Amino acid sequence: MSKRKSMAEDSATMEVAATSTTAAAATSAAGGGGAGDEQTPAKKIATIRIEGPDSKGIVAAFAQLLYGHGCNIIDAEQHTDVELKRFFQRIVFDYGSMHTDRVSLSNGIGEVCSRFTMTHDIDWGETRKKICIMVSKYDHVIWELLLRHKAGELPCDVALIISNHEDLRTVADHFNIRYEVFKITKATKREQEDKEIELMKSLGVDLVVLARYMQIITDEFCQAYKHAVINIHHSFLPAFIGAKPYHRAHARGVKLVGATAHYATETLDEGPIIEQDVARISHRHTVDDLLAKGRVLEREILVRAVLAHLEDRIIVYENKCVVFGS
Amino acid sequence: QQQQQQHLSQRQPQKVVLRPSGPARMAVFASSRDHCLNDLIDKCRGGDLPVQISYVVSNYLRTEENSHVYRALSRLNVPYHYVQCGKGRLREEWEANIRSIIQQKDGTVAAETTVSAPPPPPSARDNSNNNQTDFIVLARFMQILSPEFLSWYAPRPIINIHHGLLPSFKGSNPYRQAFDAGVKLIGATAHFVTDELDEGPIIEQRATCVSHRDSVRDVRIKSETLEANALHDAVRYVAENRVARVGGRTIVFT
Repeated sequence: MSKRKSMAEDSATMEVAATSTTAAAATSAAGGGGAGDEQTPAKKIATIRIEGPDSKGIVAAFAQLLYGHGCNIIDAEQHTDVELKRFFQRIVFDYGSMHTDRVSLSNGIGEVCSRFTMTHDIDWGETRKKICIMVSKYDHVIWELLLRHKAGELPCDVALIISNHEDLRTVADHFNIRYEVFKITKATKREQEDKEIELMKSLGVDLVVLARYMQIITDEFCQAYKHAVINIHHSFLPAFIGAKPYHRAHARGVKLVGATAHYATETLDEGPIIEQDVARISHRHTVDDLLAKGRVLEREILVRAVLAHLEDRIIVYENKCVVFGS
Repeated sequence: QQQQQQHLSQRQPQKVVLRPSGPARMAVFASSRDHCLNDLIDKCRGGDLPVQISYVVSNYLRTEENSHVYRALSRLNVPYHYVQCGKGRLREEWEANIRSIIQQKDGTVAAETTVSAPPPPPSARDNSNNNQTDFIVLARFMQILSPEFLSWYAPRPIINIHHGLLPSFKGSNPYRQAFDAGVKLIGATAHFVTDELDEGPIIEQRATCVSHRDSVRDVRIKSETLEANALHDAVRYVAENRVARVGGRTIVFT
């Protein structure tokens, strides 16, 4: 059973996308195993994300800490919001030959963090994250996710597919993934959502991906998976929030249409933007043409966003996303 | 053939603005930012844009001493008209000033005419006087023109460059709006001006990527290139008669 990593409490302005870590001993190497795992020792690669008020010495302190425990930093990327005086960092490090142990390193990290009043989130790279894909009837996005996953591009397990219709069960069957239908009406939505959440929690789901799921999820759902629900909206936000964005884009006569992947929050289509892209259109394009171009964008954008989340490259703050490695 | 002639004369005459053959002529309005005005001057001077700048109107005082743009304009014999706007000045006042500049330069407004009438003879092409403009370009002109002004200048179009990707970030400070929204692409929109701010038919849009690393200043720097590019493309389309307005949208024949 996975446990959500506890954060030092902070004001509403600081959020770090939630991940779960396991208290149990490491089972498989991060990123999936191949043949011959018994021969080569499992790689111990951890990823830590840090956030807090900017000050001198943060980078030095963490670098020294990790080095002091015998870890090797593989990748470090930082960002400072100069206006808000806020510091963000992502460090990937190899703890495979550390001369202390994880507990003392954890304590050390906690100590440095409290010294600088930072919050942190660490993934020790031992368990794959588990995702649940929610879908309605449009299937282009879920096909893309599952095919890219099958190709090994998405370091996660697809624990579950939830839909409000039966239609796409065959897709789930093709990939051997559990498919559950939860019909939604205005009256039953909250109740159904609670059942969905219960099921997902029992399966250890860390991330919910709304792959053109057409029901609006409630605030309670968003709270249950805070900054762990990624939605794909078929417009270049903040333009055309809500329904039928391509129809409205066509009417407006824009020359660029887009898609946006973002974390779902209480306000519809206004959550922190993870990734976006646009495509050129002209007067020649009908609404159907826009929909077709949009499908291509939606597939790619959602996969990029999910990958960024799975690789712990996102830090959310002030309703925006720092996306490292982009 | 007689039947054809009859048929044509019975059709409703279409209202069309005819302009004499030759390069299009535009008036460019600008405020303090140089980049779009500068770009238009360069493109027109080099012949890359088939347009002549008849004159410039600005609410920012550029002089021989403080502005290379002013010096470029004076070398090209393009008059620069400084009109004080804003700061408590009534819009009626400064718009009246601008109208008198336009009238003095233009002579009369282009007449509506029927399709079957022969085109009027080409007028003189020197840059100093009596230069009727075919359209006005607001090249980061930061004052809002009234609906009365628009209908007075009509049917000739007014093109604006908005430093945001419409319909997002209308109004003022779209750089800051985009930064606060955390978007991953920013851009500029060239569009026809209508009574409602930033709602006119879009002619061209350009975009580029931004990330968390980009400050508001970085957004501005990236955006300025896009503004100049979107605007000079839109100007070219209009100058080359490639743009048709249909409903609230444009058809751009390329």
